[in-house]
Amino acid sequence: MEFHSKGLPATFWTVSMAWRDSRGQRKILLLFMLCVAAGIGALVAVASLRDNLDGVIELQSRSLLGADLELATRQPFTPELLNFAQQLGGEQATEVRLRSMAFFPQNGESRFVQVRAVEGGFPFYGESETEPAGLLPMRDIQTRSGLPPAIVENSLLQQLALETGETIRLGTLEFEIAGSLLRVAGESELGGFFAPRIYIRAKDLAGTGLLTTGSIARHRMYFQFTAGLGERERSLLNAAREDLFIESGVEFTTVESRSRNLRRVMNNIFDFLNLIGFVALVLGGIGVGGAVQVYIKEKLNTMALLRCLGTSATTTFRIYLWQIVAIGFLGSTIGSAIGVSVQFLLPVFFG
Amino acid sequence: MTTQQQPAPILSVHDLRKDYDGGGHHLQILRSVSFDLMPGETLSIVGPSGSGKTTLLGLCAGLDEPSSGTVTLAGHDMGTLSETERGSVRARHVGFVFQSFQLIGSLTALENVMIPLELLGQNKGAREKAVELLRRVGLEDRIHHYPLQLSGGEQQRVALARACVHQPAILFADEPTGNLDSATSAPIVELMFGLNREMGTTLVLVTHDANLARSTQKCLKMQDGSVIESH
Repeated sequence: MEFHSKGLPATFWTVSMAWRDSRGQRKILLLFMLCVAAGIGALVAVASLRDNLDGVIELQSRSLLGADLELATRQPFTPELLNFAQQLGGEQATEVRLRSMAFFPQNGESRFVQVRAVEGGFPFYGESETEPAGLLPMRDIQTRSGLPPAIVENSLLQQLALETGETIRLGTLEFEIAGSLLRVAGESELGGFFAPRIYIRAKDLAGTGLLTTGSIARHRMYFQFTAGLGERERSLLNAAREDLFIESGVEFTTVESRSRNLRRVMNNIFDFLNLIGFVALVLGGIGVGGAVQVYIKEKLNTMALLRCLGTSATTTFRIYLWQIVAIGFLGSTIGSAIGVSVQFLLPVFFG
Repeated sequence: MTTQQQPAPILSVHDLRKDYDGGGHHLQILRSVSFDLMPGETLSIVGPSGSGKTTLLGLCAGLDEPSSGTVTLAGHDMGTLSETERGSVRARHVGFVFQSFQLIGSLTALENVMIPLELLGQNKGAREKAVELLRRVGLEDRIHHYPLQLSGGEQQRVALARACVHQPAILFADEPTGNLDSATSAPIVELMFGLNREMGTTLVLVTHDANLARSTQKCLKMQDGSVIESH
């Protein structure tokens, strides 16, 4: 028996029929498509962001730490630790970080701030931004008033309407604002959100009286080695971590461990975001599935009619399969495009 | 000596039965219905609601499967064919007109009429054929209108054009004027019988309209699933 199968290729006809049949329903189909696009877009955005940040961490791992090695302790450096630092060699810098209130005599305001007393060329890697430029790494700056210099977080200056050349008091010592701090290498813009950062020279810290017995401060020592962290330095670190570091309460951070820790934190965040995205996609999928089911139910009459006119069950099924596949394909493509575009748009929005 | 070969019936129904089991009840919808219809003949099926007219029409067209008995349509024993094969027989040999028009709402009048030709792969000249038929049913200026933009009578004329565009051997019409007033019904009936005369299309009508039933050559009167009178 010969059955109709010639002429218009079946696929062409089903695609054409799917297109014609979608008339009047295209707003609903567009809505389905946008749901799919939103879900896929979220997942792609998270995945792309993860890849991008992974790449950035890999490329800028040194800038993130600002040095090849960091030793940190809650106590002032012991003579043994200073000896160990001498053994390690390389370019060295120190930083004492503590939190305190800063007083601004011009307007009588005071603010909770983060004081960083630094000495040496830290950060060794990465670019910090100050106004005027080049104030970090901290160096001796001649101030107009002769007071010791302080570099103050730009947001704090704006908040209190202060300008370069005005005075700030930390503890018992007054400083002249030598410049504003715009960005610190390896730190996010939010680094000074809760406690604005103020950089002073290490030699001026004693004069403030802020660092006495019982003061909560973090002492850091930074190292830069000509050829990075080599075998000699690693073996010295491995030897010290068993006794000296434990006795002195020292934590050490290398470029690798910083990258690893960052990745771990990021992976946790992205796993969480992926889970949210996946759950949203599943729930969205169930929603879209339900909506498609309703849509198909509304089409049952047309399907029955087509069957009545002689269309096979497979061909009838394909007409609606094409519609759903097209929604899925377009939704996924648009979603992927949105997800990828977000990578370029986010920096525009967040500067 | 040569013998004149008798033409085969276009539709042959033999001992057709249709039962349904449901809700603990056994329902006999059709009880042993038999008849033959020769090419070009016209038949009306009449009877009260629930007498099995539409079920019989569906079985004749291969839309449903009988519980027992045979339906031979255009030489094909419908009982031996798969659903897809039955669909193919319908596409080639059958035209349908429904009481509620059953046009595809997302297609224009022209596209609705073209569907049977597209299904047969007769895309060459399909548009011209469909336009010509729509012109014949008086809708040449409505070819790009959607069903919702047409009146009931116009929709039924489009449905009739769709049913006839591929020149089927047999046209099944289930209460084709049931939803139309008498003024609108008359041209539809005239069109159906006109096509029967011109194309030799066999016509099977289910109707409550006694006048329409009298217009056909044959008539089956049904009650409770049985043919109680035929002429």
